[in-house]
Amino acid sequence: MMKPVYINAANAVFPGTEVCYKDVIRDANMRRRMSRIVKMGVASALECLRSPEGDDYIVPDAIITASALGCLADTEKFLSEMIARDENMLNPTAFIQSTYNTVGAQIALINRIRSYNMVYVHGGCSFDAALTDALMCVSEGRSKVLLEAFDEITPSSRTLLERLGCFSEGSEGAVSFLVSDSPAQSGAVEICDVLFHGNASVRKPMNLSIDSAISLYDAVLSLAGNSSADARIVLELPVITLTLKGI
Amino acid sequence: MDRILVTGLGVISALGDSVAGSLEMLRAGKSGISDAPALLGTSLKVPVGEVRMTNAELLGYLGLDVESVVSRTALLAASAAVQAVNDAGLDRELLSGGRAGLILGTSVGGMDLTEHFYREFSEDSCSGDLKEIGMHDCGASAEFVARHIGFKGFATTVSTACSSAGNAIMTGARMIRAGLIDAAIVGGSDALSCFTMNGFNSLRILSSRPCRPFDADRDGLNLGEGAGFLVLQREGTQRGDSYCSISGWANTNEAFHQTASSASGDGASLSMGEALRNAGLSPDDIDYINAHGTATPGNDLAEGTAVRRVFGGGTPFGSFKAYTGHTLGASEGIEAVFCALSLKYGELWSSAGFAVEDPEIGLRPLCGYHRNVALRHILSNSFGFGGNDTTLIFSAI
Repeated sequence: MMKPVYINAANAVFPGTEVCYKDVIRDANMRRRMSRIVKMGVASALECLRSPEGDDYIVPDAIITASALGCLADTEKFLSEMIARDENMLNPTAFIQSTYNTVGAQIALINRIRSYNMVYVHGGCSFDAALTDALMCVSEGRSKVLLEAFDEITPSSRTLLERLGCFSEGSEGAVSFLVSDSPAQSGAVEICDVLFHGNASVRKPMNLSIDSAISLYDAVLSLAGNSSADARIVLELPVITLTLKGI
Repeated sequence: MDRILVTGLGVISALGDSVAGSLEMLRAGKSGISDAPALLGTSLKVPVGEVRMTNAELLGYLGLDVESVVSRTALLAASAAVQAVNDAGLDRELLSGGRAGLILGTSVGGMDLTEHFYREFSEDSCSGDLKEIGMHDCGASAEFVARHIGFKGFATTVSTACSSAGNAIMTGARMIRAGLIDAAIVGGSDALSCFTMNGFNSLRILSSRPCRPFDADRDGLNLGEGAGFLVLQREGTQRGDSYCSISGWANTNEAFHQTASSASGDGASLSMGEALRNAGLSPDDIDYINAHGTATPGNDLAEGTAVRRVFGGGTPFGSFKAYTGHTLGASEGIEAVFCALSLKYGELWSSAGFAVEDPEIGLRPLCGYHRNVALRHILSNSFGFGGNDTTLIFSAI
């Protein structure tokens, strides 16, 4: 399936490196309804979609998001209210905002992006599947694909992950990429080889989705703008192995 | 280009726990919707399409220890997937190391266990059975299915609200076409939960009566639960007979509103139009439309308007939601099974719950049991919150 594929932009938003959301998500009503993770997810995507001149947004031909546990704060909010009020007189906002496709849907809504929109929710391998789909999209003729992983950690989920023995610091945030069939003017990284090797047994329970995305992000940052012949990185993710090079 | 064949079917819903049993109910025009949940512990007494098996009975059906703690979504998924895999005659070699994929669509995964866990945990953060929370992650249900059928290939889970199963099926087909796999076990599952019952209730779109898709007096949906799975295989790699082929697909986003559809049906028109282009077909080639048809005033108006825009007034259409309820992430999985049966047997069944035409929509769904129908292609819709619209096209072989 190898047409040339490029990563033209990458962006990461972590707790502590959050942007001023008012500048990026201009609609105050939408912004008010968004939980922290949805703001992080939407802001990261919008930064990735900024045109090279910075004054406009690229319209992608696909939006693919990935998350292991989704929008936990809103899930918990609705559950708590449901229990506290004995299933009476509940506010729907938290329910609507809790769905796994909320981030992808809000990105589409803000910029009226009516194209392919998909969400992978397979634990620590969510991003790998999303990346595989992004590459398939490019080979099907979709020139620009927004690809993103996001996951949040709430006080409750932290407690539970610790009880389960699988909490790890640094797995909260949103990491986005713009995958394309042609390279950007500068800073693009080429995916020059892909090996797909899906395997059901590699998934570790309760891992979050951004670890794979962070590996790709780090690789892209280190290669961007480095066109020397030996600047290559082979990135082995659970489902797919990529060979990347700077151009 | 090789065709992609549908070679196996599996389903469990309020209509029953088998393909044969469900077909009997459809032929008889008999709904599986009951007055109120009998198994789910909720105070909401509204009609639902509940699967009439307890978790212990589902575990027994699967040959597992009836005391196991497993999400009902996973149990339903495994029940349908194992039927489909057996129906297609997939062998151990393909399942355990061949070029195959498993894709599950679900809207809330293991929420049935999570909400139970959360009651204790919210009082005391050291309490609650950790086995219950371990399946919150949607992927855990797909994993459970994989383990149960001895599957070791590529497995993943998708969640785009009510279009989840449609997208699972579409992704499986695309992966076969891209040459990544030769067979795909694809579908969706969702169990009823207080979370979703209350979520939809808070949106005021549940009906207190059995739902009436496309009817002038429709006033909301009934929730349902269940699972539906297909086996898709590249033509030439299958063992026995096939039901139909999957010949087109589309996934678009309406980008109009977080939950509502535009009254002019822009989203539905876009996904149906794109699916037709993808299949290389024109509207006149479609002999039946399986509508999403949830029976909410909004959806049926938007979708009905879109059907008129794209197809004119003459194409038969209907909804299965008054038979099974709205099974959320499972809906297109269950309904794709029914579309495959229609094509195989040349039959169409009554769009249950309909009596009076809505003048605003200006269309009547199909009524009555029709046999010996010449069906070339069936188009099937599933639309979810967040504007996620997916359309599939199945074709006779």
